[in-house]
Amino acid sequence: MKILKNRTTYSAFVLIVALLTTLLLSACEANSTNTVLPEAKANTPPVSSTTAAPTLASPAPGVKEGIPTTGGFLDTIKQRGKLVVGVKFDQPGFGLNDPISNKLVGFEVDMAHEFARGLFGNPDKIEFVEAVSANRIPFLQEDKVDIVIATFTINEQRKQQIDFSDAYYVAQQKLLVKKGSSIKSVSDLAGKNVATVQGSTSEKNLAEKAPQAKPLLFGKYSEAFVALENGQAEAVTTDDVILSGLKLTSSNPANYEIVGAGFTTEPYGIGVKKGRSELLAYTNGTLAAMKTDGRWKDLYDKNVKPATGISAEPPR
Amino acid sequence: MDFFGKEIFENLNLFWGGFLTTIWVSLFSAVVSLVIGLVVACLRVTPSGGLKVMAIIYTEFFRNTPFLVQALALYFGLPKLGLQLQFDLFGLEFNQSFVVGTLALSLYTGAYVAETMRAGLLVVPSGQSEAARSLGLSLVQTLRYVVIPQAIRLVIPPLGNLYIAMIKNSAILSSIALVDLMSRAAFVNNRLDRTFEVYTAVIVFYLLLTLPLAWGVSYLEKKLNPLRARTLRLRGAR
Repeated sequence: MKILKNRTTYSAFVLIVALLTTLLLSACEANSTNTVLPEAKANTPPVSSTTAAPTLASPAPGVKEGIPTTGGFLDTIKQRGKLVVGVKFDQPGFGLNDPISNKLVGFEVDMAHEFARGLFGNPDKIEFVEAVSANRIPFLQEDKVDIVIATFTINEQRKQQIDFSDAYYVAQQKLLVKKGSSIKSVSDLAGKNVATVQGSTSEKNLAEKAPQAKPLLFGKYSEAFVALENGQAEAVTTDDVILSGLKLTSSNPANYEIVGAGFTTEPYGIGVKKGRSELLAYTNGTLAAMKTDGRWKDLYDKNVKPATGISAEPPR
Repeated sequence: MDFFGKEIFENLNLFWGGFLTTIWVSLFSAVVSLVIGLVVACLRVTPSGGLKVMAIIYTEFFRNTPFLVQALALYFGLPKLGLQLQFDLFGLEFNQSFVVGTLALSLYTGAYVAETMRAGLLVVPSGQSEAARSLGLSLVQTLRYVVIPQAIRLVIPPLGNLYIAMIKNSAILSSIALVDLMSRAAFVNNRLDRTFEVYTAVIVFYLLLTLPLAWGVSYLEKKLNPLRARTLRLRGAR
């Protein structure tokens, strides 16, 4: 290896090897996504007849007639004995890991329990995995979770990679400003510093609806809010439910107001891996039942309304 | 044709502004931290009491707290003290993220530069400064003409490593809303949904900055080291 004695050549060699390794790894990754086995199959616990038998014999309580609870991937879930759900751990009202009780609470968490109840007759046959915005699609594709209920906006780009259920909530993107601000709507943002979070739909919508605004992109909404408090940003923009949460938890809620009649609509849906038609049908069926039998309203009023102050009816 | 990272190659222009910002914030911070480091190192080797203590407090504070915390504390803290550090100069807009980011990176790196410089100053044999003083040079003259020129040669390689680390640390500034390479990566990924490819591209961009610096440092190291330079010349002559 005489050539490697020269330091410059050596560094160049290392760089090339690093790049080649990266390419090789990515090639493996691309292949493995097609051949990966559902995690459930690899480590299925021995099927306990006590959990499986009664559910198969008669529909579980709380499940309407006509909602399929067997077939396809639903059988795999039943054999495993629990539903694995990706939820947010940091979204007040929707999915929050309560720091005091160390329990998961929220609208989406409670809905997930209803989905487990429909399959097993027991809302606690469930395992939660933390889903952050960036890992929701990979988690579904890699079978780390069965479904994702995590303030997941339905859009065309995502629909190409995964399937969505019907919407269970429709948020709207708005603006949080200091009271008396000259900003009244999205058209007043030109040249203004507007804070939001990196990698969010809100960031993308802001760039589209107010290309003249100067985005200030932070890691968390709480930081974006401090920028507003400090006057570094003149508005925070994201879904109204999140803005309401920021306003209500601030030291002086009366100093802030939410403006801009929703300049986008963000329908939240439940994410399911492509090709799982039975699981999708079960999800949609249960969701429709929850919307009509009052469970949706109960869970919404229990979780989202106190955290945001926004009343809502189930979306059609 | 379909190949790995195709979408990234088609959208490379989206990274450009962030790449430039990373270069600018690194360049400014390199200059400012060098000045800070030199001043603080000189204060630490001089006998004067009060300034020396301040230099020690500065170095130990910035070396022993996480850079992310320093950056967030400065960015969100200075406005609470009434300081909105932003200005326009020659038609260029220096926004708060850039100014505070440069300040934070300079203060953090400056502490390490100071320690490296101090080590360099201490390694110069004390006979050198004693001789300079007995020839009638003042303290400042002794540092300026005798000690620092010798120390600089010794500290070039460790300083080079510090500046490589500084370029990498600049990625932290994306958390105070600086639109640098990291921030643009999130921006591009938000539109393409190609996490792996996007961050591979970012790695290559950082290597484009750090590897030439590493090569430059090793070249200077050879060039400035009188002993090694002579050995190399002798070798070449043989």
